Amino acid sequence: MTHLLLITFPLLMGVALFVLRAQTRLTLAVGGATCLVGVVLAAQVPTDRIVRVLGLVLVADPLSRLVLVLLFGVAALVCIASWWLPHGENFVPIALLTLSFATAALYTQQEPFTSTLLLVSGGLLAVLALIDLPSGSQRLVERSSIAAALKYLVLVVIAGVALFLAFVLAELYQPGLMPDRASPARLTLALLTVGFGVRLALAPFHGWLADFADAAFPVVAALMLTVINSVSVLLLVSALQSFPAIVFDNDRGFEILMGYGVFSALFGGLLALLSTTPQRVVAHLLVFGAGISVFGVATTSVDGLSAAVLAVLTQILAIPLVFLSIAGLESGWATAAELPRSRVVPLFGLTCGALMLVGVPPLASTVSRARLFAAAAEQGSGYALLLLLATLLALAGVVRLTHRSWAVLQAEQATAAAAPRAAMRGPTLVLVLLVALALSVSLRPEQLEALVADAVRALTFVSGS
Amino acid sequence: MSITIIVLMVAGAIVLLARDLRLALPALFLNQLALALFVNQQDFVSPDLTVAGIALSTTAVVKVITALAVTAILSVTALTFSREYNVHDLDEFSLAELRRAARRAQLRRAITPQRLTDLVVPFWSLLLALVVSLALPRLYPIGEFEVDVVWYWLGLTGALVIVTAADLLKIGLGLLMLVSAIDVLYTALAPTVQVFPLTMLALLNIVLAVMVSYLSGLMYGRLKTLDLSELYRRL
Repeated sequence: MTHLLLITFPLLMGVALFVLRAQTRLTLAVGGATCLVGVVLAAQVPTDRIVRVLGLVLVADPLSRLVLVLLFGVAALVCIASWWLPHGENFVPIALLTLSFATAALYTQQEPFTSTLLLVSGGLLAVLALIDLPSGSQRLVERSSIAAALKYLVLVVIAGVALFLAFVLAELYQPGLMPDRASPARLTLALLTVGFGVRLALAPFHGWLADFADAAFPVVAALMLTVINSVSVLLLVSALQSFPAIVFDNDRGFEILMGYGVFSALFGGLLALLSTTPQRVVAHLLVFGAGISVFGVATTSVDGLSAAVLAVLTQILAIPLVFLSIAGLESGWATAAELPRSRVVPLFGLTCGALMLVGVPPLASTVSRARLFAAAAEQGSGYALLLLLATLLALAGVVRLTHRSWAVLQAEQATAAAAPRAAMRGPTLVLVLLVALALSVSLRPEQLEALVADAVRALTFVSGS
Repeated sequence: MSITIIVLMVAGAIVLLARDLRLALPALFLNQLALALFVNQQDFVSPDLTVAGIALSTTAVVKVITALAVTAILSVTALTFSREYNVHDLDEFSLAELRRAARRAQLRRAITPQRLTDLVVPFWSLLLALVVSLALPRLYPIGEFEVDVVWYWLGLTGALVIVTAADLLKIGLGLLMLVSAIDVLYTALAPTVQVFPLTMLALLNIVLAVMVSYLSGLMYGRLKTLDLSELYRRL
C-alpha cells in the first residue's frame, strides 16, 4: 500500500499546512520534511505489484518511480531555497497537493480518464499558485498575474477536454470491427497532440508558458513547470502504450507529429534567441525541449523514446536550477560591495541550467543527444539537420542571455545601484547541489540509461522492442 | 427530439446570448438540470433510487447536486462583488491604485451603454452552433443521435461562450459547459463507466466554479470590473 501512502501523505500534509500557512518558516520546514519522506516512500514503491483501490488500478513502473524520486527530491530542495526566496503564502500546501496529484496521475496511467482528470486538477492548483501573494503582503495582485492565471485556466480545461475526448474515441475504436467507418485514429492523435501540446507548451500552444514564467515567483515556476512537464511526457508515452492502435493505424500521422516536434523545437530555439528577459528565454527553451521530446516519442523507436525520456529527467534538474538562479539574479544573494562576485553563483547556475535544457554535454547526457540524432537520421537526414539548427539557435539564445546578464551585473556594480543585501548561503548550496547532481548523472550515465532503455523496450508500440 | 434536449439547448443558448449574469446563471442551472434529466432518461443509466415515486439513477442525482453547488458558488460570488478583500493590509500606493481603478470602472460603465449590436456575434455563433450540432451527429456519429447532439451542443456552445465572453465570469460558464460535454460523452459512451472518474468529474465542476469565483473576486477587487478588456489593457 506504499502507492496509496505516497498519494495520501502529501495530500493530507498539504491540507494540514494550509491551516498553518501564515507561519511561513514552520510550513517550509514541514513541507521540506514531507518531500524528503516522499523521496524515501517513492524509492520503496514496489514495481511488480498491482494495487486496486475504489475500482482503480494503481501500478508503479521503474520510470515513474525514478521520476517521482526526483520530483520529491527537487521539491525538498525548492522548499529549502524558499526559506530565503520570495514565494506565495500557500506555496507549500499547493506544492504538496500538486505532488500528490502528479503521483496519482503517474500511478493511474492505465486509467487514462482518471489520469486526465488528475492532470486538469493539478493544472487548477497551478492557477492558484500563480496568483498567490506572500503572507501579509501589502501589494495588490498584479494585473499580469490574473491575466496569466486566466489564460492558463482556460487552456488547461481545453487540454483536458481534448485528452478526454481522445481517450473516449480510442476506447470505442477497435480495428477491423467497423470496416465501413472511417478510422478515428487520426482524430484521436490530433486531439492528443492538442491536449499534450497545451500541457507541454508546444508551439503554437506555448503562449501560456512565457506568461506563467513571468508572472509566478521563480520558486513557484521552478516546481510547477517541472511537475507539469515531466508528468505530461510520461503520460503521453503511457497513452500510446494504452492505445497502440493509434500508433499502428497512423503512419502518416506520426510523420506529421515528427515534423511538428521539429517545428516546435525550431520555433522555441528562435524565440529563445530573440527573447530579452531570463524568464522568457527559459520558457522558450522549454518550448524547444518539448519539441525535442515530442519528436523523440513520435519516432516510436527505442533511440527516440530513450532520448525523450532522458531529456525529461535532465529537465527535472534543469528547470529548478534556472528558476532558482533567476531568483538569485533578481534579488541578489550578497552585499552590493561583493558584486559581481555575489551574483556569479546565480549567473553560473542560470548558464548551467540553460545549457542543460539545450542538451549540451557534460551537463546533459551525451548519449541522450546522440540517441536523438541517431533516431532523427534514421527518419531522414533533413530531420537531423533541422534539429541541429534548432539546437544551435537555442544555444545562441543561452549565450546571449549569459552575456546580457553579465553586462547588467557589471552595470550595477559600476553605478552601485543594487541595495546592500544579506548574504544567503542556502540557495547557493541548493544550486551547487543541483549542478553536481546533473554532472554526476551525465558523467556516469550507464545505470540510468540502462533503466530507461529497458523501460522503453518494454513498450509494445515501440518498433524493434 | 425530446423536450429535455430542447430545454437543454434553449438554456445553453441563453447562456451564450445573455450579457447579464442574473439571466446567465439561472440558465446555466437549467442547462445542467436538463442534462441530469437527460442522463436519467437514457438506457445506459439504470435507475437505482426511488424518490417520491420517481425512479432516479445515482448518476443523475450526483449531477443535480453538482449543478446546485456550482450555481450556488457562482451566484454567491456574483452577489458579493462589492466586498473589499484585505484592504487593511495594503500600503498607500496600492490603496491609491484601487481608487484609480474604481474611478476608471465607474467612468467606463457610464460611457459604455448596453447596445443591441453587442449581440450580433453571439447570435450568429449560436446559429452556427445549432447547425453544426445537428449536422455533426449525422456526418460523424460517435454514439446515439441524441447523445451526440447533446454533447456536440454543450461543447460548441461552451467553446463559443469562451470565445465571445466579455467578462471573466462568463468565461467560467463556458468552461463549465465544456466539462459538461465530456461528462455526457464519458457517461454515455465509455465501455466501462467507473465511479471514480464520475466523482472526479463532479468534483472538477465544483472546483472549477470555485476557481472562477476566486479569480473573479480577485479581479474585481483589483480592477473593480470583470471586463476582460480592462484586464488586458496595456499588457
